[in-house]
Amino acid sequence: MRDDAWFDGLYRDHATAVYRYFLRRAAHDDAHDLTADVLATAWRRREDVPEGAELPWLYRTAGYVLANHRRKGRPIPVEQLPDEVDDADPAGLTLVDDEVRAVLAALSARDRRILLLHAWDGLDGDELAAVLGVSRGGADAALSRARARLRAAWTAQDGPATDDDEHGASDEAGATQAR
Amino acid sequence: MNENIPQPEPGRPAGQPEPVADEAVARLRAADPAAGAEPDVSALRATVDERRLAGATAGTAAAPRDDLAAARARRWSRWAPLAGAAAAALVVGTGGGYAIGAAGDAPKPAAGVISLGTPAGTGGGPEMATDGAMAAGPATESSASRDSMGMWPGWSGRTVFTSEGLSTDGGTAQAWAFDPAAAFTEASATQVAGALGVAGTPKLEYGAWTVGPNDGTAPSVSVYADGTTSVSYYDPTKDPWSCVPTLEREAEVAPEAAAGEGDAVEGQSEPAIDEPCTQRDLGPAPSGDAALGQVRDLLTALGQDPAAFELVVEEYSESAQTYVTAHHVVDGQRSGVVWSASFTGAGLQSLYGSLAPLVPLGAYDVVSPTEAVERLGDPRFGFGGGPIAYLEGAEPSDAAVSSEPTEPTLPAPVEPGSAISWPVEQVTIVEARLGGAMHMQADGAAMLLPTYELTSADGGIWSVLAVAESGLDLSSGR
Repeated sequence: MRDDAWFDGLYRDHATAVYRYFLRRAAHDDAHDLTADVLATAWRRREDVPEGAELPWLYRTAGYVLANHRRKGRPIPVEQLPDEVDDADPAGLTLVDDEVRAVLAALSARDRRILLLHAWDGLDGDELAAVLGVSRGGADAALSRARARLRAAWTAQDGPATDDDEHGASDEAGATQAR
Repeated sequence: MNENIPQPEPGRPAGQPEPVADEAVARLRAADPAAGAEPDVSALRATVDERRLAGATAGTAAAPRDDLAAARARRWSRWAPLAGAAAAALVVGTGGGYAIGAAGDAPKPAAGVISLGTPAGTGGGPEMATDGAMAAGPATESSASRDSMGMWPGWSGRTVFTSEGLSTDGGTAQAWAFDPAAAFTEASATQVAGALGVAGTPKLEYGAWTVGPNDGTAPSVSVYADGTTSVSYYDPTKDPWSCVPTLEREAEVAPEAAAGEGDAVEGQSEPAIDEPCTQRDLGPAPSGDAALGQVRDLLTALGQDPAAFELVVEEYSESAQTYVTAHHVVDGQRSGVVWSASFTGAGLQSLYGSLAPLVPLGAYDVVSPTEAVERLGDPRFGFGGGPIAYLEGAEPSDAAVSSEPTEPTLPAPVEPGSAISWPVEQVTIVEARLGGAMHMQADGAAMLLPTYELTSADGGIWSVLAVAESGLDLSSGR
């Protein structure tokens, strides 16, 4: 059975990582609350948290908590959430670099999610696979594809004359949103 | 564990130009809004402990459940494509007479897959499926249409459905179950490895039969114990993004670990020092018919009937890879099961699919199209949200949606006594198509169940379970 000492360790090792996950994807004011939600969930379901893969479990749970949060007061039991959460919607990201935002908006939600988990949350290999719920090979392949498409998106972004960049970028962002 | 501190790309000496792809990731990393941010640790801990206590007194001792394992068991749903609904040819047998593999001699394209219980969001986040089926969302992994499942501008989430001109006749329709027990065996793992040319004998680890190392240093294939017996194959040596020097060194340094313990080699904490890792040129990937031919051969070698699949090839000028998706077709309709292959100039680089054979469950009574529309407004079957998709060309305008911050604007002041805005959508369903959709029971068993795809006058698409209540066990899952 997992006890307070176990939770202390979990908190010490990962609270900051979970907090940053939300800082990147939600309003600053909400990061504290959402982080507390995830950690309290980890305690409540402590027998489910896989040993050695605690952080991927926390990230996955964080994705659900974020999705619930965005649905504003229509909570869903974690058990019933879809496999894939969109935790990298450019509209919700805390981003100051508009070019980065535009490039992200040109990518699929899945690619964005994978790229941000990799570039921001520092995941790859088995951990990325665990968060995505796919095999290691699948995660590696998905990441390499996402990187290829990111590169293509940058190329497309840099392609047209610089004066048009902003215009083109917001067009693309809108299209990605609504499609 | 990986902390969130942005790390430099390993293996690149200072001053040397970055490989293009790494530069792109580095740019992303540089835009990390949380780099170095720290929570107020004690305040956070206080909040957490408050909620832990609240949880304990509320007695929420949730039944032990492993989300990750459950999610893995459902992994097909992520790649179940939602495709070509506009071109859907209605090829539904009337009570029996269904045949798997009918597409083999059918010249017309298979009807689009129906995904059961997949609402589109109203607020930006994903929504639950009412029947416990996981949202079978995205189209093929390589397209951008994941977003099509997400947000429809303007949907309030309150919807009233009416039907117009639809039949009131029920009937029967065939259901199938996947039989993973027939496919999750050491023998089938051996066959799959043989078909893919992966050396080694199957090992049962982490709930999967795996052949080859699990550390990404050499080709490997896994057969999973899930409802559709998923198969995943990956060959890092044919991946243009794999770092060859790193691969070689890992193989050198830890041959035993490579053969067994995956975590042992996970620590790539000793970055390559002098070997720049760039995209490798593996030559042109097979294209068009060549790629299709390879997938047909592959399916045969895997014990599948190529005639039961509809193959789609995707090539991108920017990409050094060719993607082939083989859509499993049942009675003229895509079932949602896919095999997905990617090729590089070096050959087959990755493959995903499902091995479990379909077993007929017999005919079930189904409700009429008119009743199906009523079900959309029944909380037991419907979800009251926006459509799961739109017919091509019928997508709502995106004018109202912008991800770019603009001038700050405040909502208009609310006048005293004015009516409160409480938007309710009125949807008229004018077309119903009976087909099959993937459904996953709570225990992981996967089925293909009679399902209606319902299309509204303005081109929105919904889906709802067609099986009559006489064929359902509605007792609570708790």
